[in-house]
Amino acid sequence: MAEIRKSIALLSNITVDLIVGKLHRIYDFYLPDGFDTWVQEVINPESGIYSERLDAAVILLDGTEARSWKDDNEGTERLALWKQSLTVLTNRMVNIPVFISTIDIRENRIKSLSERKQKYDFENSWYQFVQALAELKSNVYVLDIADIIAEIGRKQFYSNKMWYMSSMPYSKEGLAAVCKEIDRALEAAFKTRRKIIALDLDNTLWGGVIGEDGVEGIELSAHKEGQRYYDFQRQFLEMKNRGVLLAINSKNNPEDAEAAIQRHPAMLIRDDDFVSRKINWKNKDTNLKDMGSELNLTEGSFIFIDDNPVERETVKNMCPDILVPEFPTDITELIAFAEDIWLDYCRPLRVLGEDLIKTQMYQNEEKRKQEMSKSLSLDGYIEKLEIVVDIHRMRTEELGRVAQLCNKTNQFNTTTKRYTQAELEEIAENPDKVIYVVYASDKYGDSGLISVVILIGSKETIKIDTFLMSCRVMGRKLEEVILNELTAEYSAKKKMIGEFIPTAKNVPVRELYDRLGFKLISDTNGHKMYELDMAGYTKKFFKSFKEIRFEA
Amino acid sequence: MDKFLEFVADIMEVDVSEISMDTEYKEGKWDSIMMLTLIMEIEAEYKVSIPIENIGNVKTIADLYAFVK
Repeated sequence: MAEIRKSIALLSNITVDLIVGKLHRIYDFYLPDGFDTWVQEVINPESGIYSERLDAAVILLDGTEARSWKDDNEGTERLALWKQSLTVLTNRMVNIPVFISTIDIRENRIKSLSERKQKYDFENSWYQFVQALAELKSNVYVLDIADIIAEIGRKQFYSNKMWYMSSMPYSKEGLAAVCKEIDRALEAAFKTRRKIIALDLDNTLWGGVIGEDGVEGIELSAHKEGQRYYDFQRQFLEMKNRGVLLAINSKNNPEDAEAAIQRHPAMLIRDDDFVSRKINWKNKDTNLKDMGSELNLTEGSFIFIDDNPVERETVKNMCPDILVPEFPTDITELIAFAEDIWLDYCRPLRVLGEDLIKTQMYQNEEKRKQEMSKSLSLDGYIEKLEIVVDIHRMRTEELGRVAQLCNKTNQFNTTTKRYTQAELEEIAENPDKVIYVVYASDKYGDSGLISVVILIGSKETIKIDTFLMSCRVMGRKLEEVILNELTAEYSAKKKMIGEFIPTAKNVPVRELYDRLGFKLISDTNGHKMYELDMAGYTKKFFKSFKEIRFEA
Repeated sequence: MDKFLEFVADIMEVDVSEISMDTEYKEGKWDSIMMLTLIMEIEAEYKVSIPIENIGNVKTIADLYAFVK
């Protein structure tokens, strides 16, 4: 399936043609006419940025012009104007991601050793402003260009020649770095992130071979050479704390490796940080495939990290969708290696509460599976889980999670309507529409907000506009429970209308409404409409559930 | 010389057969933005610094080549 090209508005106080030149193969760009006209573009409600079909906006601000500010007042006024403009922009532009850059202020450096440097105040106040916007507005994100400049160093990043020739102050290296950061930000918005990192152990998470060197002999410590691996581990722990799952895929005797994982004093990632541990003598591609089916994750969700080129090559050949990065030959560069993996494939736009406990949720799921293998029937299994269901109207604080589910749920999703947070707010305020959210928990843990139902009412009917559910709770009759409650709530209506819009991935709900007792009314190339006669509906009682709460 | 033409063709994203030492500025893909890209890439690849005042006099690819000879 050909990907639809994304259209990006690029607003800046410098000439951006060279940036567009580098990124035009991946994205289409919308640019305001003229040099440094972005403020006018933003202020004018008739501007192209508000009428063109755009997928994202990037505001790239450069601090080179500070060299010609005649005094600090001019700088203060300039930043104030920019802040006002961005307040206007972010109030108007609520449906697409907006990336706003931080600034490296290049004020005149002819100063004594004791003179005040206003640039620190400017940079800090700008950062505070952008960060506050990003916290306030769900579609605003920080594009930290100042950090990129600090990483590279000004002498490398800027080119005076380019500035005087083209009003674009970046060197070749600077230009490449800015383009990369913009691309990475856009990929975080538009590309699916990798969900799980499977790690080798020997010479990857520690130095040496555990089977030969033993727990005391491997290289892993909080100081000196062993710190290379210690710091590498911390990188993955930080990723885990932001929703990335970790797993082990290692050829070893399990007892040798487990001894290190559980007892080595400098081991940072411990057993409960992993969702799966395959420590055996099987082929690594077999282990990865097993992990995928056990955790219900596709190959495209995986990153596999191994120092051994033979293992990497085998996995690349056997599982082409798994990402297998080259391992650095210089082990002192492990931190940067992990950082690049994060930035290129894992970094999300935002970390939500759900992401913080993702590992634990997968671990609970493992326990449920073991319970299921012991149960004789589905009802018996559900009863043993002691499920509590809570259905209520969406509250404001739940908007973020609802938007996340609307945009990433593919399998159990009847219509796959990708509502933005702003659109969901509108729906919630519309008196004819209502958004219900569903929570599920059981004796193994809380699954959180796992289902969203959007209903549109008219005089005689109630239509299910959206019915989606997280795939981790599928197969527990929750859809029956949810519909039962909603049907009872809207029993005064004549009919409930169901809709199914087919996609490549929502096969699990293709027969959902048939299963729930709806009558098929029409079928146009798989796009199906259903009706449920409300008069004939009596509320059911699900005795295998521990508790079902409904709040209209 | 051939290597230089290949280098330029690569940056311009054209086949090397489409350009020559006589290709003129403003011809085909060689606009002012491409001129900047060429200067930037040549300086980095050949480790030279091309003075701004000389850039205005560039009329053909041969003039660019003069900077690296």
